[in-house]
Amino acid sequence: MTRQALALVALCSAPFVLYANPNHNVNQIVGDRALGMAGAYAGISDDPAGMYYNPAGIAYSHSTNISANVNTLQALDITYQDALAGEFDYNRNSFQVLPNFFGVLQPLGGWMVGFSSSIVDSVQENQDQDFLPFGVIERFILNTSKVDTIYNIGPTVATKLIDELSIGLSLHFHYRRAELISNQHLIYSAEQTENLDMRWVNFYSKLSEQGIRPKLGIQWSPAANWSIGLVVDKTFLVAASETQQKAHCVTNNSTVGCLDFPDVDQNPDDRQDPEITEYQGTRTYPWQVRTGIAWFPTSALLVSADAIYNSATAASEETGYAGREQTLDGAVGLEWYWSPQWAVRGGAYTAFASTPEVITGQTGQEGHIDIYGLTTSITRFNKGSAISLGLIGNYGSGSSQIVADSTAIQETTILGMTAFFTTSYRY
Amino acid sequence: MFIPKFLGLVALPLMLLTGCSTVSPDSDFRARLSDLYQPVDSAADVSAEIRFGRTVAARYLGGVDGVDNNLMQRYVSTLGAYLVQYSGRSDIDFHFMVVDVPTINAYAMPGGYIFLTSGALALMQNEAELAGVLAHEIAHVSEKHIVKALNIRGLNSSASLSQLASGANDAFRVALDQATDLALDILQEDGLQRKDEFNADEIALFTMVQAGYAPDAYSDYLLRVSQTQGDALAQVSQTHPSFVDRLDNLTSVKNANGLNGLDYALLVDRFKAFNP
Repeated sequence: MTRQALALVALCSAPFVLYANPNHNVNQIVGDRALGMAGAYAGISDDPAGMYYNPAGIAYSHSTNISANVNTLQALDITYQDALAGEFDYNRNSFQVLPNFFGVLQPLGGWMVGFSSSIVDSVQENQDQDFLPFGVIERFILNTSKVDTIYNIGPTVATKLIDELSIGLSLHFHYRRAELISNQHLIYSAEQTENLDMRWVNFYSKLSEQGIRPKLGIQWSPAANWSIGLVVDKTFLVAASETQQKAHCVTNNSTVGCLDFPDVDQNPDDRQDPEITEYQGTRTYPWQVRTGIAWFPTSALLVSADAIYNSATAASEETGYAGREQTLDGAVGLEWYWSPQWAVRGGAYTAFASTPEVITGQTGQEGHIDIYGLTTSITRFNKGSAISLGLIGNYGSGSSQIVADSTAIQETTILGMTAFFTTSYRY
Repeated sequence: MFIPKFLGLVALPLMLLTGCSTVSPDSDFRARLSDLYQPVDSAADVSAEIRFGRTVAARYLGGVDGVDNNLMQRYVSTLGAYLVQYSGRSDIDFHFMVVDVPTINAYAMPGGYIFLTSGALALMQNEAELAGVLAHEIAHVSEKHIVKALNIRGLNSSASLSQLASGANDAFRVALDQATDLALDILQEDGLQRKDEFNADEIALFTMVQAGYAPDAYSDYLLRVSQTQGDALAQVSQTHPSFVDRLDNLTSVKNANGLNGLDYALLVDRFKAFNP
């Protein structure tokens, strides 16, 4: 079999690992005000978004009752350069409408209690490519659709221990639902010498996780106009299951139907009748420590910064999860009111890859792509309500190795844009 | 290595915890401009406030009588109307009455209904002192302290003051009765929040100065009240912060704003002409 056809077989056989974005620990930014400030919110958190960033902050909520809702439009483009036969780029894109946060706060005695629903990670990737003839390949059609979403839903309580110090706890239910469908259809040209006609690979995988994510936070004001937050959380999985189905068929010009593997290079992967396999087992999520500082010099200006540490996690042979390295990400944000009714917000954040660097000469490596993002928004306040409109832009670059059993490395770029519309209301 | 960075992450807030003195911060520093913004009231808001205040005033007057001295009542009302010009609440008509009650106190109800006890008036020595007390009560109305204390807002709110004041159905009538009782409890027993009383004292000082009255007269009156013996002082002590704290606060405000020793009007003779 020619080298190019071998590469294609490897591509067709590439293991599919169904995890939304296990390569980054900072994914979705949630909340009305936090979105515009790039998620630099641990030192602020005095509104419903505080239930996600630092539950202790809601004890300082200024309004007795607040509810918030966020809708975002997300577009993403990922390019794996020269992924196919060292010549053609792999392109994946996504577009989704994502109502990714809802929360409500209510005072109860000396406590502030609340309930929130957040989509903390969401991936929706589509790939629909029909490659032109190259080498011994007449036509190669590739269709992939991947959806992976993580929800955190649950209650939060917080109270002031003293005026300057508060403590809070969120207990979120973790639910993850992921699905991957991939179809690859390859037609060989007459020039190839193996008498092959067609190769078809279909792969389907479905994953479900349930768990809890306790989040403990404190917030402290050491001096006037300053606030410091510290939060620790971890997701503990209670149950997880993954179902996979793979089918692989190769035909030639002499035989009717799919070839049995002894007829094709003695490779047991060259024919796969549909078979469903199930895996039970839980991966490990990292410990996350978030610390933030906020400076409130005037009632019109606010500056904040967060540092987010995630620990390393172990690999899982059963599920194919490769484990992750520890990361340290950062975010900075600013809010400025030019009148009591208008405010602008801006921020920047990082989402560093939690995978090891891709090393030349090795195979089967996870992609390593560092992402940087910028956020901005404008808000209009009215009696009891606020409406915000904003944009998030992110850019990532790094290396990937999407072809199994190949040492080829693809330079990878990610370009994303999100438009968000949020509302909040006090009553 | 990330471990030293992680330790630094945790150490920084801890260092700040141990390294900084425990300075009590301004608890409102988190409030943003939109939180502090007080939009112009709608006509419905004002109308509801007046109707509710009238109900509370009527309930109060059901238990007391006005002092039977029309000249004196007119004098107090005229002075009050003069001070209202500096209140920023030109949208409501203020009403002033001296009630025949020996205790020392004054009450400000929503919508501009202000009552002064005869006991409080008897302790005054000049018109500037009367202006200070009236300005204090006017400030409670203009800042809506009692409305905020009742946690009732205007229209478009789930607990609508307009709906309560309308008494449109049994539920609203019951709620109105409860709100009225609560308002009177605040005025006569519990008192407003300390910060609201201090706020009213500060505004009273500035109102007196703008109106041409000597601001020291207000402090003199409070000092005289604090030295009064007997039951007459009981209610005002219960419903207001301590006189020591109030006088300290007034001293700070005068010092900070250069209001000490202003040779402004006291108007002793005119006051005594209406209060022999």
